[in-house]
Parts: sequence; structure tokens; C-alpha cells
Amino acid sequence: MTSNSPKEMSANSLLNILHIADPTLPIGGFSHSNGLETYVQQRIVKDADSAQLFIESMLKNNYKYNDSLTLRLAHEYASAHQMEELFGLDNEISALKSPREVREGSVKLGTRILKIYSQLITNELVTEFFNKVKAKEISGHYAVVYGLITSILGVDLSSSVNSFYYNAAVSMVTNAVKLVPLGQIDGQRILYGLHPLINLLTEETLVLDKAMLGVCNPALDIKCMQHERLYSRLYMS
Amino acid sequence: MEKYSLRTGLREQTILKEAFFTPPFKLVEVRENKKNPLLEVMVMSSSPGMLNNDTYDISIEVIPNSYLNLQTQAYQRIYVSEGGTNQVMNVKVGEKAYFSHVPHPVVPHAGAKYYAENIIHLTKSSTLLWGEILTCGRKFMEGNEEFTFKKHHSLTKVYVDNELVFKDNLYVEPLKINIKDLGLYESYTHQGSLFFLAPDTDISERIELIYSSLENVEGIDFGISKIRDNAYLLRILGNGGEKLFKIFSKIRKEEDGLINARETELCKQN
Repeated sequence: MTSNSPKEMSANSLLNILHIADPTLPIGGFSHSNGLETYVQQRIVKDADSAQLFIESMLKNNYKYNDSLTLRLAHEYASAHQMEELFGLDNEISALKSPREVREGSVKLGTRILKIYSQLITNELVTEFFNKVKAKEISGHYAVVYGLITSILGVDLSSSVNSFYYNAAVSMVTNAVKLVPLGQIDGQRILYGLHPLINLLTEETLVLDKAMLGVCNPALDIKCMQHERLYSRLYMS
Repeated sequence: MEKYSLRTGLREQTILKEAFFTPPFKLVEVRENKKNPLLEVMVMSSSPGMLNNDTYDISIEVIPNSYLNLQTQAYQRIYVSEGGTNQVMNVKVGEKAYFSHVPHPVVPHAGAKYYAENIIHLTKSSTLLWGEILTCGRKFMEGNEEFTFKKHHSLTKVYVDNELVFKDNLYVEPLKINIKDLGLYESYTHQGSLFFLAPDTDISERIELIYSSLENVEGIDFGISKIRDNAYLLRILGNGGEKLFKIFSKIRKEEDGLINARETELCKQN
């Protein structure tokens, strides 16, 4: 973990980003559709165009105010060693995520990524956070853990937020390709086309007012709640 | 600043122990059956709505073992004003106490700016039913004012023994977002949220009942989910305030009725 020259540091940091943002990280990211499965079953998302609209809306209306802002705050708190604020943030996310499957999914991903990194790196903040999760004093939400780990790995805030959006976009594109279904190249075209939006949202997230944390997306919440009752389901949310 | 505050008291039934209000408000007891243990209070207002940079300061205390339903008289209109309008509502519900509040829908007129903060403190044995409905503005008037308000921000926080268990951050700035986006309002114009929490209750039964009562209602989209083992959140989208208000009010009357029935049963046993 120690590197001396700035050159080594930045190389390290890029690999660290690629590692944590890797969609194949074994945390079960692809078993959660976060509402998309309901949209597909109700034929609202039914082709490449509607899938693209869905993903864009999720990024700019949902992620921006929810998981991405959470990640930014977590990164800031962890970087400043403000652990009480970090724990408080985790509890606030539990109170904000009202659809049960979305809340549980966020905790599943969060605790898995925590388990992986607690075995890869030795860091007292990670240990302290993990102990709180084990003691059930906090839940360990995905975005909070992502912020904590990237801060510890020396990933700068902007890259952390940027990679998080990218990871979210890849997950949604992959799910859409499977669920709708779409052709692989359709999926890649959507993903590539999202790059400017992801960069714009990253900038906006960095300066977003904290009071915007958890802004509700009513229709999405409803579809996520309806997912609990879908007759046949491939996804956990 | 415009204010009202009330505190319940207890005799054989819940009484209105302290009521304080400044114009335009007035608090009136409206308990239909005078023998009912549940106190029903209506907030009346002589103002057509919130205007002139109004700041409403509301404080409710439901003392241990008492039961209160707080009603509104009419839709809450928000008029355009320079500095925006604000509302702060602090609610404290004591041990084994009950509080239900399903106000009429909020109607933000063209240019309206509104900020509200609702802070609710419960204990482990308190029961709460809390509703909120936001309309798109005066949709059916001439020169349709659908989503022409400037900003609507309503924050609700529910604590149980100082632990945050539910937070809702309703923020709509129509000029800055596309309201029809997937995940936002889609094809609807009205939204409502209803939160319920009760001690030692398996909430699944209530969730099933509400689900089956709404399953076949046309013109709405809804979801209901467990927030905790003893709490649910119901979210609805629709195209009219009256329909959502009726749905929420029906659930509210049922919960109010259970409180009255439970207490009457206890009295008989004693």
C-alpha cells in the first residue's frame, strides 16, 4: 500500500479504481435490478431507446441525489476521519431507502465489498466500520462502503464519484441487455453514449447541497415496491 | 410568524389540555362521538392559503396514553411570494400514545416556493399514521397551472427514541427537471406518501389488506413496503388530489376506529 513517487501513486490509484468499480467484483451486483425488472415486465422499458431513457433518468434523478451523493459524503467523512458522521450517514441511508428490497440490496452489496476489502487491506477505519456492522449498530450500505474504501485507497473524490456512476451504468446496461433483451452492441452503444452525462453528473455531485440527500423518485420507489410481488422474478430487487 | 400548538391531556378520555394559536389559525375539537377516547381536533384557517412569506410554526404534543387525530379543513394553497413560505412542524408522541395526521393535499400555485420540515419523535410504544399529498397545482383551472410552481421541498423525519427510522425528502423543482422522466411522475401529476408505525405489530397483515383494497383501483400506481417489522410506507401516484386523499383518509379512519374500539374494549374489561 505504500508508494513513494507521485507516478507510482497515480498508477496505483487507477488500478484501485478499476478494481473496486469492476462489475465482476464478486459481490452479487448483477442479481439486483433496482426496479428495472418491474419496468420491463410492465413493458415500459421494452427496447434500446426506452432502456436508454430509463438509465439516463436513473443516473440524473436517482443516483445523483441518492447513492452518488452518499458516496461523496462518505468519502469526505472518511478522508477527514469523521467516523461518527460516517456512521450517522449509514443510518440515514437506511431511513431513506423505503422500498425493502432496495434497502436490503444496498446492504448486501455493502457488506460483501466490506468483507472483501477487510481481507485485502489493513486499516483501522475499515476495522472500526466493520465492527459497527457486526454489532448491528449500522447496516453497511454499498455507497457508504465504496466511499470509505476509495478514500482509504487514496482515490481522489472526483474519480471515486466518476467510477461509481460508471459502475452503476454498467450494471444497468448489463441488466437491460439480459432483461429487455437488447443486443450486446446496443448495450455498448448506450454505455458509450453515457460518458458525457456521467462526467457532467460527477461535477454536479461534487457541489451538490447536502440537503438534497435522498430526494425521492416516487415512480421508481413504487416500481421497486411492486417488484416484491412480481409473479416471476430473476432479480432480488 | 403564524403559530399553533396543542398538548393533549387525559381524563376518562383524551382531552385538549392546551391549545394556543395565532391568526389565521383556530383549533377546534370535532370529536363526533363524545364518548370516544380519541380526541379529534381540526385546524381551521381564515387565510386562503400560505402567502406573504408566511412561516408556520406548529407544535403538537401527544402525552403518554393519549390519542389524537389532527385534521385539516381544506386543501392547503401555497401562493407566490417573494421569499417563499415555510412550515416547521414538531410532533412528540409519548409512550402508548397515538397520533394520526392525514392533511388535505397541498396545492402550490404558479410561482410558489415552499419549504417544510416535519420532525416527529416517537417512543418504542407510540403509534403514528402520517400522510402527505402533493398536487401539481391548479390543473383544472383556465390556463392550466400544472407544475408551474417554483420549488417544493418537504422533509419528514421520524425518530423512535431518538433513532432515525424514516426520512422522506420530497423535492420538486419543475423547471429544472423533466417531471415525466421514468422514475419521477411518469404519466401522473399527484403524489402521496403514507407512513404507519405501531409497536408490537406484524405489519404484513395491514400491508396485505391495503394492497388488496388498492389493487383494482384505476388511475393510480402504488407500492407498499415494509420499512421495519412494525412499519410500512405506502406511495401512490395519481391524477387527482381527491382520490388520493380519500384513499389515505379511509386508512386513517380505520386506524382511528381501531383505537376507539380497543379502548372501549379495555374499559369494558375493567
